[in-house]
Amino acid sequence: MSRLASLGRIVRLHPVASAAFGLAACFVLLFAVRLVLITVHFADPANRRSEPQPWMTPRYVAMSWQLPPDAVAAALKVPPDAPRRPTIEGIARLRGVPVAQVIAELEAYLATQGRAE
Amino acid sequence: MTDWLIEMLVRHGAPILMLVTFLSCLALPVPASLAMLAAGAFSATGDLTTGSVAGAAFGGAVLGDQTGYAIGRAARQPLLRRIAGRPGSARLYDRARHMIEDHGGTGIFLSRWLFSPIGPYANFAAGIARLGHLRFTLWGALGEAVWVLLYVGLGRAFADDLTMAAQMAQDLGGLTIALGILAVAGLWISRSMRRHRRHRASCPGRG
Repeated sequence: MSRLASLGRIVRLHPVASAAFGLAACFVLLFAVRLVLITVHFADPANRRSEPQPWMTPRYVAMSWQLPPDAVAAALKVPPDAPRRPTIEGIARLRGVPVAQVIAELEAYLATQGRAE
Repeated sequence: MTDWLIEMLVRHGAPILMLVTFLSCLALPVPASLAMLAAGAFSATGDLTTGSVAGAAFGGAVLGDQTGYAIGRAARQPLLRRIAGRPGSARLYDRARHMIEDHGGTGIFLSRWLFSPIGPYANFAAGIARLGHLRFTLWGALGEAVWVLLYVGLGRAFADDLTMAAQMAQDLGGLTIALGILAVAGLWISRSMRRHRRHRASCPGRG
């Protein structure tokens, strides 16, 4: 009872500091729980495969899906005049096709790789 | 913004990262942590080299800190002239200056990586309060090294899923800020409770 009473007294004497303390404690809890959830999700290798995005490079896709970089580059039909670090968007531009088409082709290739495992 | 930044980073490499960390030290709203995470990930894939990524991020940050400090120093005289006629502001400035003199090195170190959102303002404050330049530079560089290693390392470790690594970094940032506010509020309450108790002990007649 005395502990509860002293807590009430603290809140009465320092309403602003108490509110800040309470709010910060809620956020600490929220972030900590989220961090644990993300870590658990990340621990599963199947969840670590990124869906293809326009900013990804062939090497990035290869690493994320644990595939040989050359095979991914071939699946993306990277033109020979491409820069050293082409992105999927850049590859689409060079090939003169929409990004969505390159991503669809890549997804089809990745699906066959998933089945092969 | 994010996709565009990553695209620029892939296309132009380390110089973009250097520019981003430089601007972030001057309180400009650029996603420096995300850029370092992405650069770390691209160093793991072999698209960029780890040395160039770490060097560019560190170089940009140290240059940015020095620029912020110089801006603070240049603003010192005009600021002092402005607060000269106001005793309240002058007293506040004096207290802040004493605090920076006593704890400035640690403050600069921690505001580089643990409480990085206040980093740019700490640079300006250090310049205004004339924190020793060598002390500022050494603590600052040490802190920036921790910041760069932390985020580039995180980007490398979680390179397979950059989206998730970014979420993780955002959470870690939020957690440290919340912990900081918790500590400050706790300290504030405990100090004023002590003062209150002392006050009551010295005049027992009043409740």
